[in-house]
Amino acid sequence: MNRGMTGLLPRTPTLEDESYLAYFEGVRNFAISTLFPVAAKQIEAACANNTTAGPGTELPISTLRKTADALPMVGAWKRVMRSQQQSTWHKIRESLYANQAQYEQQLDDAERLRPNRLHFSADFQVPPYAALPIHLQPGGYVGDSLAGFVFHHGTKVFYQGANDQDELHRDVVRMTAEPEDGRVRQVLDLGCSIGQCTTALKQRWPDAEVTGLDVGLPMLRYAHKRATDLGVDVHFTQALAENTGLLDGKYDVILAYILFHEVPSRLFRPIVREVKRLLRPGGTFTIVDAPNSTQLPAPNRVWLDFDAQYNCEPYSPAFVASDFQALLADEGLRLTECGPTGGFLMRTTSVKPV
Amino acid sequence: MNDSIPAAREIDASEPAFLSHPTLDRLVTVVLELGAQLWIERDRRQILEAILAANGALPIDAIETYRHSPDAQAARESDKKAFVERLFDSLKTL
Repeated sequence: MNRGMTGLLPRTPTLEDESYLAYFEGVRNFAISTLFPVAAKQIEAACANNTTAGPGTELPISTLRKTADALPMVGAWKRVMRSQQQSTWHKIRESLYANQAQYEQQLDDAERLRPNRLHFSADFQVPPYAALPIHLQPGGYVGDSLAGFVFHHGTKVFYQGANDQDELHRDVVRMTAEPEDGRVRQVLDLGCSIGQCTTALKQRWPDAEVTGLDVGLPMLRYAHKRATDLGVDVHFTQALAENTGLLDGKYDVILAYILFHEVPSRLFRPIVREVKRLLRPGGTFTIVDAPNSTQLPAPNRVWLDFDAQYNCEPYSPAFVASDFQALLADEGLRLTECGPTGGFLMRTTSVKPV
Repeated sequence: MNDSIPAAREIDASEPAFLSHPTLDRLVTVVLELGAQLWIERDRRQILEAILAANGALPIDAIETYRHSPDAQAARESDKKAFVERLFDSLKTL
């Protein structure tokens, strides 16, 4: 039975699965909006009472971890967050794999219907760093043929429901920097995942050729199917952000939405260098990602540490602690703006000097 | 690439414990799962009753006095077994 769509998201095969996921969406919301603020106050109070680090000195992460983990509320919050994540992925995969052939067919049909829009090589080697089960998603972005379908449903829960209409992605594209001369012929969505920004970029600049690039072929296959369903003509390419294989100076606009916190810190500079190579003079680079900060409040550090340790976000702490403004400048990109998005992310825009 | 069967739920002997005893962690997972099953049933029943009421097809005592056929009863038992197994899934590897 085809149960139709919820906005731009295909409904799950059964009402039971939809109800299950909606419930865990509510559980996640409760953990974030109700449990965590209580835990945060307790963490702050416990840190204020901890004199081992001395006044004015930030607690080392090992001490902070020990201090926070002694609080039952922190344990309860972590347990609910992790179990919610595990149960969500498990149900989505159980639900979709019961109809695996149907979903595989949809991917194949899109590639027949709109050929020459999905570019990949059978020889492509996925580096080990990209093969992790990020956010505990079994198989991650590269090791599960239905990863794109799974990710789309999983991120609806992750964003507590706000993922039916590409809401967040449309916002990100609205805040993507346009070159001063207004010329936008080539756009690159670096680390495009399932292409939600890619299609929104094409809708913002309909005359441009827009390419989504990602390491995960299952994600790109779903992105291509999705764009085909939406009737949005974009390209998808499997490649590494640090070694795209694309032409020098080709791009007017490059966007990296929540890419950097999912790659090892040793790749930050090579990726920025690659972006500079790909941009034409006057071309813009927009990063939307977690805020960079070495002065995070203790509760935020506890959450970041939990994500790194128990939600398979191992690269995130190094990204948060990094100084991307300095890195961009160091690689010859001119910073134009940096500030919060209005949500929980930060936007950093830069331009390749003319 | 795993393109055949879903991976098993990633709760095994190495699952971290955040609470004062690993059993409590498993029990939280049990409660969450129980909540999910309750919500699923409530969600479906409310839809069903709304449709039936809208069509004038739900006599007032019809649900309270209903009896399953033998075949339906057997299917119900099977469903119940699966329900309990799902509910207590996280305890299996304690």
